[in-house]
Amino acid sequence: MLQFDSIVLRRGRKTLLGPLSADLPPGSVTHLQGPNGVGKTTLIHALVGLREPDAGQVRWNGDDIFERPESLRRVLCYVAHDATGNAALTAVEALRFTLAVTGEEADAATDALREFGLTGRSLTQPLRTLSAGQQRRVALARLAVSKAALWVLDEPLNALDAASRDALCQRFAQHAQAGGTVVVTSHQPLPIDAHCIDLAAA
Amino acid sequence: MGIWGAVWTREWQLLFRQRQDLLQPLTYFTMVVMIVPLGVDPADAVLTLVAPAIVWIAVVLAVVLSLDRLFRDDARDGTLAVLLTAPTPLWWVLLAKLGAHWLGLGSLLAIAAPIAGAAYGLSLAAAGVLFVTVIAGTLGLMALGLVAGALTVGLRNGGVLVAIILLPLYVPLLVFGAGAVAAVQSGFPGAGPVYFTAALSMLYATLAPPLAAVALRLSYD
Repeated sequence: MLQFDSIVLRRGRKTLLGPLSADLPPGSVTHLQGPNGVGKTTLIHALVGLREPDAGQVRWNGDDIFERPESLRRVLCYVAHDATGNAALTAVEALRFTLAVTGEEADAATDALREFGLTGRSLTQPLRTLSAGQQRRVALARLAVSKAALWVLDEPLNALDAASRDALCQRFAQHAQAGGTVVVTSHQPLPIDAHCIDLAAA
Repeated sequence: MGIWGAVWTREWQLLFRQRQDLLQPLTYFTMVVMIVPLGVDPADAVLTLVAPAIVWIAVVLAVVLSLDRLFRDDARDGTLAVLLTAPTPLWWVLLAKLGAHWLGLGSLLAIAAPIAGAAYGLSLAAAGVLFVTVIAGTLGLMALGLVAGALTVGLRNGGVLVAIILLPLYVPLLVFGAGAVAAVQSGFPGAGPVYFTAALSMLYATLAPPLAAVALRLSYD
């Protein structure tokens, strides 16, 4: 279980967010909401261990993630809002690399990309020649093979068309049903059962 | 395919597709080496005397110029965020990065340096020592560069800062590397400074990946 224990995030002297406490139990989809600049990405960075909160703790199964980062990294699949992979690599090369360093099966890359609607030439062209939506799918294709229990995704629905958005949200619901935990930031409402945390009110 | 293989493969794919990252430092090296005689009388014997220092300084400048590519794209395209949140030990990834960068650019500079040295009138033996010190020394130069690049990854104008941080740290390698060549050129044995260059490089290359890993975690975001 992922827990926020009265975490406070500051930017300079200004308090950006918090104190915020929440429990994100296995089997749940959590939707972090709020206007631009409210601190969604900063909060995401705090909960994947990229930025230590200025007060309070983020805990995974009871362990502070900054004291024992390995226990979180082993179960984490994090897709940043600007994750595209190196523009000079092809989709298959970029995904193979990501899968290999995150401890997944690199050989599953091509199938994963097909599952996310990338076929033919879009698999073997440099990423810079793909559209924004296709690049987003390359980054998200990790989810097709991910064995991680905790999915943390920053603005995953950006640049996706309506059909892919729905498919992706169904994937979140399936992962939660299988006992996983999903944390998503998005400006759009999710078409599935999700626990909403409004950061503007926190 | 292990983690090492994956990082290694990717680094070589990027080196071959972004050849300008290798060719620009190499061109810069050539220009620095070529421009010095234009300010001096080319027939002056003083040129041969300072040749080891000039070639070595040109190598140092070319390496500094090349360091930008180590983390620039990774920070921008989200690869760094993946590496920082992955269960893979970060220092292992950085060691592979360092190794690929060294074999890619270090070997090119090591080939170019003795050619430049010979053009300055260095003896064959001195040019040979130049090759050895440059191939050994660039590993150390790049290892220190890995740490400096990691420290400045979050900064907008990191490139200039990297150069300012690094040049003083490069002094020992420069002294031993150029010193070995100068010694052989004047007929003295150069083995001592060559070993020192190699030993310093090995020390830096051993310490740099874990240090750079800590630096990356501190400076990211």
